[in-house]
Amino acid sequence: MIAAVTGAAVISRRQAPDGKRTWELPDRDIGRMIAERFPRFGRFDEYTQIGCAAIFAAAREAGFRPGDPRRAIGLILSGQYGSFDTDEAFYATTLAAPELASPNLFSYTLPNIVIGECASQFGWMGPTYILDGEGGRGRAALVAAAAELENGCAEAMLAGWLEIRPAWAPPGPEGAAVIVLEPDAANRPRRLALEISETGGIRLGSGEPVETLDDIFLALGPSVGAAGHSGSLDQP
Amino acid sequence: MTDILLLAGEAETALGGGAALQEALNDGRSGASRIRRFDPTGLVTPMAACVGIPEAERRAGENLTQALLRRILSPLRELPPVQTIIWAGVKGNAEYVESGRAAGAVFPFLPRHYSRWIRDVLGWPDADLREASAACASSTVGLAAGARMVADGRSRSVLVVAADIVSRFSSVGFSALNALSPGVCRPFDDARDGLILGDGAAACLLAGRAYAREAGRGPMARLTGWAVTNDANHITAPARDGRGLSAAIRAALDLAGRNPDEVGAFCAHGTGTVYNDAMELTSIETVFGNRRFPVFSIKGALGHTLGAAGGIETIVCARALESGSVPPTAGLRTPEPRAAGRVTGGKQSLGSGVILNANSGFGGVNAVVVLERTDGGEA
Repeated sequence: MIAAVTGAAVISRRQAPDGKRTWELPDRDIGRMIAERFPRFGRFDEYTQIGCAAIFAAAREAGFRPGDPRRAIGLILSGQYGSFDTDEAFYATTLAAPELASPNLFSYTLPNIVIGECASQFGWMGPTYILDGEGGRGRAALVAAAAELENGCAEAMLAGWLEIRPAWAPPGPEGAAVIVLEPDAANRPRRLALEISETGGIRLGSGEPVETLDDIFLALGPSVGAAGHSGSLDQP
Repeated sequence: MTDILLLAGEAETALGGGAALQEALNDGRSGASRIRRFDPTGLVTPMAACVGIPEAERRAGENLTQALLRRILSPLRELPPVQTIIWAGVKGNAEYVESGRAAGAVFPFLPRHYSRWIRDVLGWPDADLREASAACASSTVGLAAGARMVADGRSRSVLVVAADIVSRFSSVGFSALNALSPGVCRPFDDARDGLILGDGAAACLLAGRAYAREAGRGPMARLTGWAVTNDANHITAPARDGRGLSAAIRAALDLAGRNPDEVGAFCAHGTGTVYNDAMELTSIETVFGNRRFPVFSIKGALGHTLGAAGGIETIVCARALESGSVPPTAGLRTPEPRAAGRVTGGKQSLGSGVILNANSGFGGVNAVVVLERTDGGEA
């Protein structure tokens, strides 16, 4: 099948002089828009905030809106560390006494909660899970999302990569990158066309094989994620 | 579509594994006992279904999850190498986090570490690795993802492995959410009041017929349908109308080419919480109407084994297909009205050779697999 990339967004970490994390956001107003739509956004952990922001931006470009009627749209993310930082933050709340443990933080110790937050806001009822694996960034999620779409399990699939590295982890890329895949249609604007084979192989229109999300973002060009607006998501 | 065979299934639980597990479940036994692994003071309940793992069984530098996994991995080493390994445990880092990251003795801690370690233990260096995470539906999602790989020809054989232990981390968390039962876990009971946690590990091998021939073994069951959906409702509360689970059941049955009347039994997620079980009954009524047929949960016996639950339940379902009966729902005294005639405290005969296994998890995820009886013999 021919699939279209109808939305894409990248959020990457910028090293602040004081060592704190700041993020290059796809849109200066993204924090405010998300906070309006996600009433609990300020209570999300950073992993969920970054993931929601990238998903929100990619979905918005594809024409999806919070509050849309429920549809069979799915979302698969890759990532190595998941919610590890939140695991430690939650466990710290239990140390004085179990009765003082934070139920809110406990919910966010599951890396798929970011998917649930977005699915409930956007009405997405398709396949939703985390799938990581060997290979480049987001490869497992991309291949699985393409297969779900090709097999008719969803009207559209979002595939992405989301990583927040704990302070003790070796240095490496952090942030989120998300694309929206839909069956190609003449009446729908698209960023890029992809050919998905029955065995899950993915190629660009030029015939070049796609192995990772990075290949797609490379083909999309520098416009994605290049806005470079710096900011904090929890204080829009 | 390629025939997808469940070629091997190994489980370890508080009631053991293999035939002993099925026998214990059929006898209605429970593996719940007082937690000794950590001090349960302050929790809603001091009870959980833990596996006794003698210190001598733990190899130097290995954690409890690994000790549990070694019990189920050993029998698999005689098989030809698989092409793909999917790790589907949820909280394999609990011991690491609880230690304050002080002890090197609790490595591994990331999903990626577990999949690599499993590959090493099994001696299959060429296996491609994946890690699936979907809360308490993780291993069922792993099975669905693996089945899709085999069906699409992206892998000829997929081993889905999951394990989760009763940790202070998870126990305190579920206690804080008021999800634990202060007494006995009674799925689908009128007086149910929560879940208990359990240790569990499962390994399920999915393959096409070519691998089965190479392995020289017959299938336990065929996996003919699967689906993963989301409730689009809430991150921890199930949709009251069961819409996500209903959609998953229907999609899995469609893929299997079956209609609801052909389903012989339903292995429910059945955690014993008020809202989960109510949601499942709503969904069952939505898809199956007023039909009374066997519905059961094994979480009253084994506790909630988190990521491993779906794998263990899939193996129990395959064995049920072989024996022609499904286990009782341990803990059940008085089924709630909508469960009456479906859920019982005794063994029930399978109405057909088709059984559904369903799991749901935080994040709104639902996953369903359809298993069907085979005629036995080599593939």
